[in-house]
Amino acid sequence: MIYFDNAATTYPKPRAVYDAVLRAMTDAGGNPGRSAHRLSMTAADIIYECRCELADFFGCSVPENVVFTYNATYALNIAIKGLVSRGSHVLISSFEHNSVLRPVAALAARNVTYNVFDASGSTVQIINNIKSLVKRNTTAIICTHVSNVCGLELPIAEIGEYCASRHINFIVDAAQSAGVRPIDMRAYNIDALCIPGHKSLYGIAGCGAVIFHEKYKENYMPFAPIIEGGSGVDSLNIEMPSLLPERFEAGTLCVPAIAALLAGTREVRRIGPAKIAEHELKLKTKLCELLGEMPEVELYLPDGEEEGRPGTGVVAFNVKGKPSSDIADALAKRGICVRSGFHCAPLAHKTLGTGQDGAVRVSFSMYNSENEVRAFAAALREIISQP
Amino acid sequence: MPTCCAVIGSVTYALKGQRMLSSYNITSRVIKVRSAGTAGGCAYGLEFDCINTDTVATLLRRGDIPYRDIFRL
Repeated sequence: MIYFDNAATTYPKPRAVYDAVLRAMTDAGGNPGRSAHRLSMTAADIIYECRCELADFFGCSVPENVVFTYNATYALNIAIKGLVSRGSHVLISSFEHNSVLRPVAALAARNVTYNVFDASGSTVQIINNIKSLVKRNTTAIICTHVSNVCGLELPIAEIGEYCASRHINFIVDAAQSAGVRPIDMRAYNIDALCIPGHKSLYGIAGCGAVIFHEKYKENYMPFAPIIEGGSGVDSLNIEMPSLLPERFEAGTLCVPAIAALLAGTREVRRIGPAKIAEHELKLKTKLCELLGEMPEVELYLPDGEEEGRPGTGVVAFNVKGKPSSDIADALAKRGICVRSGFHCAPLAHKTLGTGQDGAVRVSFSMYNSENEVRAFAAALREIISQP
Repeated sequence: MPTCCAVIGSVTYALKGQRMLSSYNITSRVIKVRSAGTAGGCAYGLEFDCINTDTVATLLRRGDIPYRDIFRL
């Protein structure tokens, strides 16, 4: 099998991640933050270690500002719905995933309006596009760091700088970039960073996080909880606790998934995100070179590379005259895993001009090889040659 | 040795406090505080040697770790 669907979830995981999950289930099987016995405290320790690791990795000096969620989608919902108030206006990019578009659209019920800024073109053009859409009541700019469809990297450092200058909150969807592209919340003025555990941090499904900027604390917190429930502390109080992270963590946390995220993040940092990114981009270059030799193939390559925005190892393409689902199906029959269709990102496909049928998406991880890329190209050539 | 308890609140801050005190060579243990003893009903605390009470209070304040009370166990 050749697994080229890592933008959906990475596979396989490092050995340390599998071990961490098993250890969490056997040695830390208690509910963290509820009791003080060994099993509960061992679980609580793992969770606290993971908060520290993530905070350090993403440029936040305050581990308690790392709030665990089930995935990046939950994290984005907490950030977006917890911040954006009635009657305000937000901006999103033209490459957003539904995990941003849908919650923003749902805020119409609170009379919140939004505009979409074109995120193709140069960094200067993108910032100008943003400036042309900002209004007096613009509360937030919410955007993806890297497109899950084509790997385009947005200039989040420059967008963050602009947001800071205009006192606009900046929420970043780092689902595709956490672990492979540098992210410094402090330097980039990111108010809320939303990450999944199961993609390029090589954890398992069931865990994500929203990390709030270190400036936010109990008495200065514009985000409100959107989920209420048990927090393990102050049980007699009918309101959620005032302090982070428990304020935003109602219910039981998924300890095995957080243990996996801790192990995965440590492994990524040990290997080096830059080294992983370089490997994936080399595979992307090779694939594009081979696909470029096939006249029937249409590639959708993003801008930005020449401006220091190399993006990630994600390639979107179509075979002329053949539906993307047929191509993906034919590849699956040959043991090659890709994703076809709209990738939960209708805005991105509209921007790329693939709004009719979507595209086939190939996405790499640190475990893929050039041999696999060559085998993929050979399989695709064979598929194309068939009537 | 008599032990004291600093009532912290969440397990997150209790663990943060424990690690911070440990960096100053003060040993502490995370415990669940008697529910009746706290206004909100459930809280974690840090148990430590009472001889360190003043130091613990100062370090917790300096480390931005809010505590509600310190009492003798």
